[in-house]
Parts: sequence; C-alpha cells; structure tokens
Amino acid sequence: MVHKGLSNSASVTLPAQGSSMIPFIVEGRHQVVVGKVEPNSLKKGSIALVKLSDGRLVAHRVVRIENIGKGLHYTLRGDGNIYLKERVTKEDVVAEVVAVVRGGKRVDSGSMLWKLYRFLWPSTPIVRRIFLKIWHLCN
Amino acid sequence: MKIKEEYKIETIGNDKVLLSNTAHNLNYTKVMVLNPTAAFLLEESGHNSFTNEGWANMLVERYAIDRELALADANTLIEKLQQEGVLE
Repeated sequence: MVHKGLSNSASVTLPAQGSSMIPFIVEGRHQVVVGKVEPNSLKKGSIALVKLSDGRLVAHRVVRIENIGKGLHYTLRGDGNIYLKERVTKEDVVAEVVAVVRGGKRVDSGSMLWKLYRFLWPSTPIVRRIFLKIWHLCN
Repeated sequence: MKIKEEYKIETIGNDKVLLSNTAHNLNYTKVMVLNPTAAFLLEESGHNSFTNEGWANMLVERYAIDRELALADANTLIEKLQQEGVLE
C-alpha cells in the first residue's frame, strides 16, 4: 500500500499504530508522513519504515548505520522500547518518516523540534524505563 | 455541490474507499469505505456537480427502488460526505 502510494504521490500519511514510538508518536493521536528513501538520506536519528523478517511493518528510529560488505545495515530502536532493537538491511527499508503530525502540527524530520525530541529522550535503558513509567502515569 | 478534486476512489483489497490523493500526498488517515451504492454514485458523478435529486434519480434507475427511499439514501450519503469535508 505504501509502495503503491509512493509511486503516485510524493508522500503518504498513515495513522500511527502501536506503542513502540511513544512518546514521540502515539497511536490515536498522531499521524506519520512517509516519503521515498533517497540514497543515503537515512541518518542516525531518522525514523525508517521497514519490513521485518516476520512481515511486520514498523517505523523505528535509526540508532546505528554500518557499511558491511556490499550494503548498508541499519540498527533501529523504537523510542518506546527499552531493550528491543531491530537490525535490517537497505533492502528492508520501505520508506522514511519525513514528518509526524502531532496535535495538527507538522514536525518535519530534521527540524529543531524533531532534534529536541531525539536528544531529550534518554537512550540508557534504566533511565528510559523511568521516563516511560512517568509518561504512562501522566497519560 | 461536487466532490473536491483531491478526493479519489481507490480499491484496497475488496473494498472501494474514498481518500485524499494528490501528487503531493496520499492520506490514509481519513479513509471512507464505500458500500456498493455509494461507490456507484461517486464513480458516476466523478468530480462533476450533482444534486440530491439527481443522485436519487440515479438510484431509482439503477436499483429500481422507490423514489422516496432513494432520496433518503442520497441525503444520508451527502450528509456524511459533508461531515467529512469531502464536498465543495
């Protein structure tokens, strides 16, 4: 559906699903705008829409990029995930999240607000667990 | 009244849906699943102007139903489309 959409349109807007990207992306509240992946456009901090080996589509943040052998390998981690990471290749990447619509306002990839969310949200598992507990208590 | 230019009918699986689809963005967050009657009326009308009466006439011709019932169905669909901001 996304592939087909991106063949005719520059971007596709999807409803957010799941809880693996909270608090940045929340199901029922936010929307995700995905665009075509340009060569080398994915960087650390980008959010990639990928197809996992079990067929699931997930949009998670790129935390590591490695150039192994013939191609690029990406390690992804959802902002709402404490330990779980996914490792995918360039071929598994379906699209790049170019913006997130939060409360009707568009937060573009690479914008100040985007970077702020990325840098303020902790990556250390124990700290992230505490932040997530606080977030769940408040929501 | 007529359907806004940005709204198009797509087929997803076995369903016909109405969604906002432009060269800039395809929006899957506001998707209306169309029943066969709604799909018939929207496909026939395209982006041309239509009226409640005109749609009722089309339903009478297509399904050979009572005109009162056809007008009620047409009004219900138009009301729904207006609520969703699909019409201009």
